[in-house]
Amino acid sequence: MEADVMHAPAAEVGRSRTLLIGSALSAASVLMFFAGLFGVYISIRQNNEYLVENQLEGGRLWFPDLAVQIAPGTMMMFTTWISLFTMAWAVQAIRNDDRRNAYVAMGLTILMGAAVINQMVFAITDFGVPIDRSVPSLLLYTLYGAYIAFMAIAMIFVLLMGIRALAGQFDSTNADGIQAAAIIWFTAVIVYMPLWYLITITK
Amino acid sequence: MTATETHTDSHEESTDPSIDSAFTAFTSNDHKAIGRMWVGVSLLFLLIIATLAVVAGIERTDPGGIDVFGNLATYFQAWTLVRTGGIFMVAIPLMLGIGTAIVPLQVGARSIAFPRLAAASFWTWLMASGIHLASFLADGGLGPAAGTEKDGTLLTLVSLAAMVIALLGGALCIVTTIIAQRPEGMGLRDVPMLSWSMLVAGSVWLFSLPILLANLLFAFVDLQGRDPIFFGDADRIWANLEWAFMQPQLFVVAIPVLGIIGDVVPVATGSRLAGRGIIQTGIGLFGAMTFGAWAQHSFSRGADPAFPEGALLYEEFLFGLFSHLALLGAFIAIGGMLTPLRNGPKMSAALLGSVASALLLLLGLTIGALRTLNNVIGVLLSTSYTGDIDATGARIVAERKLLGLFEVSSDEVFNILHDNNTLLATNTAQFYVAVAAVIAGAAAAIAFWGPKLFGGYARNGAASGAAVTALAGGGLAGIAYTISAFMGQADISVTSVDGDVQFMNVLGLIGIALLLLSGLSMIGAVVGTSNADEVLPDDPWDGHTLEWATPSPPPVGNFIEPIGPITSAEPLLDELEEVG
Repeated sequence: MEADVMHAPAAEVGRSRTLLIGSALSAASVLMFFAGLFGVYISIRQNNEYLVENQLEGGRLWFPDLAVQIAPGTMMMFTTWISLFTMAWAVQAIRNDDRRNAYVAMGLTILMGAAVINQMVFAITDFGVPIDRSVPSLLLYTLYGAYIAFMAIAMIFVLLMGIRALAGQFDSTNADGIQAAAIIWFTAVIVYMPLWYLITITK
Repeated sequence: MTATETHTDSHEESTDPSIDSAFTAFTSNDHKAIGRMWVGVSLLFLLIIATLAVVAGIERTDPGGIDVFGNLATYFQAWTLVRTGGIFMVAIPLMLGIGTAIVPLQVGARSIAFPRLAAASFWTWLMASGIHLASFLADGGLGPAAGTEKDGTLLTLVSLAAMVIALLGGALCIVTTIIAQRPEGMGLRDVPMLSWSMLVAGSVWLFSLPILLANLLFAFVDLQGRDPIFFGDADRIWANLEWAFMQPQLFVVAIPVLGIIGDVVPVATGSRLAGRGIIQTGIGLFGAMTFGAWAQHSFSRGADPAFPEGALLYEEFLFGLFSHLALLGAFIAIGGMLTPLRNGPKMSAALLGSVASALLLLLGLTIGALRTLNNVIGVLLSTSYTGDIDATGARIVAERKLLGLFEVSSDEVFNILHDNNTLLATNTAQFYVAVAAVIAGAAAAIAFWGPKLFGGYARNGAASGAAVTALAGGGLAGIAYTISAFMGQADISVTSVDGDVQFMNVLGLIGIALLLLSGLSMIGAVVGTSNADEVLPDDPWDGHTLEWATPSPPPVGNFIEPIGPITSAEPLLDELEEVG
C-alpha cells in the first residue's frame, strides 16, 4: 500500500541527539554497575558491623587503623573536581568554535584522569591492607580496580572525541561528541564521590 | 569511523536484504541483517539448550534413582547452563533480534542508532556464547562442583560477562533509536507497542544487567591467584548470581512479548487499540517491577542466620509485593490488548502466538504471585503480633501465613523461611514458562513481520505449531513443576522423591520436550519463509504502523521517501479509515 504519509514534507534525517542519548544511557548503565559494586560493599560492611557489635561469630576487624589514609583519596577527589571544570571548558570552547581552547581543555582533562590513576596506584601501594587475604581487601581492590578501568575508558573516550574534533567533525553547530565525552567524564567524577566516602572516610 | 557514529555509508549496508550472501551477512551493519542473525543463531542455541534441558529433566524426574550425569557437580553444571543459556543465549537475544530488525522501521528511522555497535554486539555475543558453551565442556561452571576446574569457572564467568555486555550494546542501540530517531510528530506515546515495550525492556536491561556484571566481577577477582575466600567460593558463586534467573528479574526477558501482542492483535482484529495510555502504563509497571537486582543474596540480611527474623520477613514481603505488582501490570496490559478479540478475529499464526504468549506470561507471573502470596499476607498479619519477631515470632507468623492454602506443618514452613531451596523449585517452573512465552511471542513476531524480516511469508503451519507446542510445553512444565515444588521437590538435589512428585516431574519433562519441538517448528517457520517469486505487497495485513509503509523487504535506508510528520499512533489505519 502506498501510504499518503510517504508524500508528506520530509523530516530532518537523523537527529543530532543520538550520540548524546547513547552516551547518557551508557553512563546510566555504568552508574548501575558501580551501584552494584557499592551495594555489595555496603551490605557486607553493614553485616560485619552487626556481627562485631553483637560479638557474633564471623565478625572481623574491617581495615586496620590508619591503613587507609585520608590524604590520597581526598586529593584524588579534588583532582576529579578540577577535571569537571576543564571538561566543561572544552564543551564551551567547541560551542564557541574556539578549537584551540577546546583541545587544551580536553588535554588537561585527560591529564587530570592520568593524575587520578597515578594517585590511585600510589594509594593502592600505600594501603596497609594486605591484598589477597580477606573479604575487606577483596572488596577494596575490586572497587579501586573497577574505577581505574572506568577512568581509563573515559580518558580514551575523551581522546577519541578530541581526535574527531581535530578532524573537524564538531563545531558550534554540532558539539555532540564533546558533550557526549563530558557526560561520560562527569559520570566518572560522580562515581568517585561514593567511592571516596566509602573507602577514605567511613573505611 | 567509530562505533559512536550514528549513520553508515549506504554502500556498506546490505544491498539486497532479501537474500543475504554469506559475505554480506558477515560484514553487514544493516539492522535488518543483524536482526535476522540474532534471531537465527538464538534459535539454533534454543535447540542446544532445550536438548540439555531434556537431559537434565530426565535426572530431575527422580534425582535419587536416575543418574544421567554421574554426580551432583555435573548435574548442577548442566542445570546452570540451561539457566544462563536460556536467558542470555536464547530469550533475550531472540527478542533483541526482533527489536533490532523491526523497531527502526516502526519509528521511521533510516537505520538503527550506532549500527556498527549493533553489529559488534552480535558478533561479541556469538563468540561469547560459543566460549560459554565450551567453558562447561572444560569442566567450568558456576559451582558448587567438586572437581570443577578453576580456569574453566573463570572462563564461564568471563564469557557470561561478555554476553551480558554484548546484549547491553544491542539494547543501547534500540533504546537510543526509539528515543532519538523518531520522525517529527511521533511522541513516545505514539510509538508502536513493540517499540514501547523494547524501550521499557531495553531500559530495564540497561539498568539491571550491569549489576550482574558487578557480581561477576567480584567472583572473577576472588578466583585470581589463590583459593577463593568469598564470592568465588563454589557454594557462593551461583547464590550471588541467582537473582538474575529468578523472579522478578527473570521476567525482563518477556517484556517485549507484550509489545508483540499489542501490535499483532489490533491488526488481526482490524480495530484501533483502545486505552493506549493505560496499556503503556501497564507495560511500564510490569517492566519496573521486573527490576530484580535488589533481590540478590548479597543484599539479604535475612539470609544470614545471625540476623533477626524480622529482616527476613521484610525481604519476603518486598519480594511478594514486586511479584504481585508485576502481575498487575501484565494483567492491565494484556487485558487491554486482548479486548479487541471480542470482535471475532481471523485466526492466524501471529494471533495464535500472541494469545499463547499472553497466557504463558500470565501463568508464569501467577506462579510467582502464588508462591509469594503467603509472604505478603503473613507479614501483613504479623503486624498484629506484638512480641519481637524472633525465631518463635517467625514461626507464629509462618503459621498464619498458610491460611490453609497448603498442608504443611509449621516446622516445614519454618524450614521454607530458612531453606530457599524448597520453594525456589518454583523458579524452574517460572523459567520454562518465561522462555516458552518468549518462544510463542517470537513465533507470532516471525509470522507477523516475516515480510519485513525475511522478505517472505513465514510458513504459517510451522509458526502455528511452534506457538501451540510452546503453550503446551511451557504450560505443562510450569504447572507440573510448580506442583512438585509445593510437594517438596528441591530445585537441585540428588535425593529420591516419592511417586506423586515423580509423576509431576515426568509431566514437566514432557513439557520441556515440547519446548524443544517448538524450537524445531520455529526453525521450520523461518527456513520455510517463501516469497514464491511473487512481489510482496508493502502491507499484506492492513497494518497500522509505519513499518508497513515501506516495501517488503525494506530497501537500504528503510524508506524510499522521507517520513513526514506523524499525527497519530496508527497513521496507516487513519488512512484506511479515510479511504473508507
